[in-house]
Amino acid sequence: MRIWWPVIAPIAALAVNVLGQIVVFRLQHGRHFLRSIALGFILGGAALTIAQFICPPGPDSLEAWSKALLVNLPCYAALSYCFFNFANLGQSSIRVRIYARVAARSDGVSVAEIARDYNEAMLMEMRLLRLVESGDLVLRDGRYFLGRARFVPIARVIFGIKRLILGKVSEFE
Amino acid sequence: MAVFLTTLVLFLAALGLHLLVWKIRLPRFHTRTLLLLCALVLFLWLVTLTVRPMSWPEVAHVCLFYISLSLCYVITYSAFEADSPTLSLIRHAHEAAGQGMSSAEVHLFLEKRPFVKARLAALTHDGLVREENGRYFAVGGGSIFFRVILAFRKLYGPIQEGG
Repeated sequence: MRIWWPVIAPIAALAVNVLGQIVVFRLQHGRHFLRSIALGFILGGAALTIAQFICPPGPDSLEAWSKALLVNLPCYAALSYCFFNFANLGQSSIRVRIYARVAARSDGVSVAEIARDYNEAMLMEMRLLRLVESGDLVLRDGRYFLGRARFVPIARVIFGIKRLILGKVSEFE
Repeated sequence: MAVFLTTLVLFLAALGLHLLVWKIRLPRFHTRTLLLLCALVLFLWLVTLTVRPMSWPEVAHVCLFYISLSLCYVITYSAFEADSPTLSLIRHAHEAAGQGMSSAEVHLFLEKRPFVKARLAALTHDGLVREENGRYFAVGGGSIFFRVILAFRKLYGPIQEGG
């Protein structure tokens, strides 16, 4: 069992993370999704650390412990990132929401119904409003200006990688 | 340390192979091809174990670490593949820095990017839904992945609408 523990530990930590996130999110009545994700991640991280203390991976504990953490910390972080994206898909992905709507109806869904529920203009207005409210865009004299620049480096990285891998910066090009 | 280094080499090899294939020709199904490439690298490494054996727990550890890193990359790749409306708008605003954008310019910019239509087209392209006489139907029982997401969503209870 001891030799398998380094493999089991990140999976067990992920299980704690997932359970913790679901419980926290439900206790908050479906609000503060990101906060529940962060709390779940912290709970899982704590479980991973405790697991490493309870069952150190070798007799020369400090060295073996450090080596196991060198793999298990990024491994747990990677698994948690996957979980976050998986959970987030169900929360905010337009693609998943449309699919859920289509899959729920055996008689299919018309383009008009989809357009009504997922009105492009309305979604964009909401998004624009959110960006203005968060200060990322500033409305001045009837024109939109860049406000907080926090998304700019992320956009630069994403669009740079898109250009490198796909040879274009937009799917609409 | 062997687990860490082996995984790192495997992951870098998968990334290299991915870039190489993408430079030669963009595949029709990006995610599927990416998953296949990652699986191929892992499979080839497992084959080499007959020559350079490793203990079973170490092999399992490498597999777990490699699979989690690969999935991370595949997930992140979807952000490269499809445009994010928020980031597109921020980039546009950044490019128009001094002058700003009028409401009409913003709407024109967004009109050229029909995100909902693009997601619907992606679902059709991936064979998850089909269009028949202006109506969309789920194909077969639907993708396992999507069904798992929908099942997981139920654990949360009702969710708010929004884009």
